[in-house]
Amino acid sequence: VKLPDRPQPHDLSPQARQIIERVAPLEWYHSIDLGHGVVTPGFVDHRDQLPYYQLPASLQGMRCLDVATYDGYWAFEMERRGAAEVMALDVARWADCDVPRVILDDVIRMSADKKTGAGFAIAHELLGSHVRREICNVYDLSPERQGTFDLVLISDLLLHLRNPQLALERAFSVCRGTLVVADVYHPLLERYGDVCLTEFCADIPSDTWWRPNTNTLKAMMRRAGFEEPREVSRFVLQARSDQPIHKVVLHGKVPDSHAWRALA
Amino acid sequence: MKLGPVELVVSLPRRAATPGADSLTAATDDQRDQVSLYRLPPSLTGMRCLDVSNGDGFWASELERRGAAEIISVRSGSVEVYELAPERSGRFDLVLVNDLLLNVRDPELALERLRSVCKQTLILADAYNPALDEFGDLCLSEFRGGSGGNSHAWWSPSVNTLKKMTLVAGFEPVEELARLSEPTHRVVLRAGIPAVHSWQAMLRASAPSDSTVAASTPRSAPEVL
Repeated sequence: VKLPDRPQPHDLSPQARQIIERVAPLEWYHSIDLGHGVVTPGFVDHRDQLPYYQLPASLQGMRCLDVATYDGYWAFEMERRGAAEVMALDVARWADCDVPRVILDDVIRMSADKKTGAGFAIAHELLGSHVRREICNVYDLSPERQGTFDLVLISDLLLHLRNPQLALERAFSVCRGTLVVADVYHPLLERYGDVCLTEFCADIPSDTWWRPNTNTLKAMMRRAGFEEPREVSRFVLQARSDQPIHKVVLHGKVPDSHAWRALA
Repeated sequence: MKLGPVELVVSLPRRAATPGADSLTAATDDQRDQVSLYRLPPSLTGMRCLDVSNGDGFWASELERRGAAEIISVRSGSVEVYELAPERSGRFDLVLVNDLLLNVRDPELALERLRSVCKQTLILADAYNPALDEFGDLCLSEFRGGSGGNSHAWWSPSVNTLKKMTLVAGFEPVEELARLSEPTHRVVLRAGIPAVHSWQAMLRASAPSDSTVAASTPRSAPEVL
């Protein structure tokens, strides 16, 4: 079998080379197609798995929120689908994540206090995006500060939060339509009927707090105020991980009565 | 997250520190029976103590009987627990906690706050979920958020989970003093504050001076928010 020749630098267009030079120094979380044949080398690649999320093909006229945007894949995707406005939420520095308090000083001392958003800025510029990046912790979301949104998307975030229930309640407070929760679940905890089980998997150091079963995610969404969540898919995330990452996608609607209140 | 101002109920030692006839009448037989399981020091002379319990005064009076210099009581399951901070209340030689974690939505935050005001020893007695013991070392918790019989119950953890949560909050070592199944399933844990945490050496060794936190966390795990 003859393998195709590896691409050589001279095979690349000058534009592609320019983009690669900017992309290469960074560590990417999202695989984002920046055009000219360049895709960022992300830890996760959502592109082939987009249908699993069942996002509306057109988001024309909608106000959308991407919670914990990181490199911005979901925000740019919502913009591509015609959203009238997309807000991309992130924290300012790594130390603003839910780090166990007892190691916070060590984390800061180890210069993990670096700023977020380098990848987002490059992708934003190269895509000519109008997405607005907003620095705000998910726990501080409020309709007074951010307004309300037709679509709120939370992807691969809840497992990293010490208090996922509060995050869902804050998401509810700014949602006037649908919340899409696409998060990690624990496949071994799925066989126990209606019981809501969650693994507490925090270790020091670790960036994961909880791995819930899907019952728990649904119960938390209901408790936050959403109508009975609709499960739209389960799959293994395409990621450069040595362990399979099991995801479930849940759509939760704000009850009509509440949506009217939010608009009023 | 904005919470209301802290309202600490201060219970100063009374001069006639007899075994408090009035508080003992308020106590249930179960509480009296269980005191020995907590292995409280026989003498708490000169110590500042924090009592986080259901507010009937039983435990405060027990601490008082043992000679505590000062006792501050906070009702367990209230937002006051989230507001505990050394700047507000100072730190305590002994922190005694009863039935707190079942009733709070963010039990780990509650433990972190307790850690921030604890100078020496934590004794924590809380409900556990016996059905989860079957899962061995896996640390599981049942989410009860509003759907259980007790509308105040948020999480029902296994003993392992309680221990691990206490450890991650910065207590070390964490030991189990007793496990009860009557009248309800409760476990009593005792935890200390080490001079140096076992993870500190590990954390520092794994991180060259110019590295990032990513160097000490698994590369494979996504770090979002």
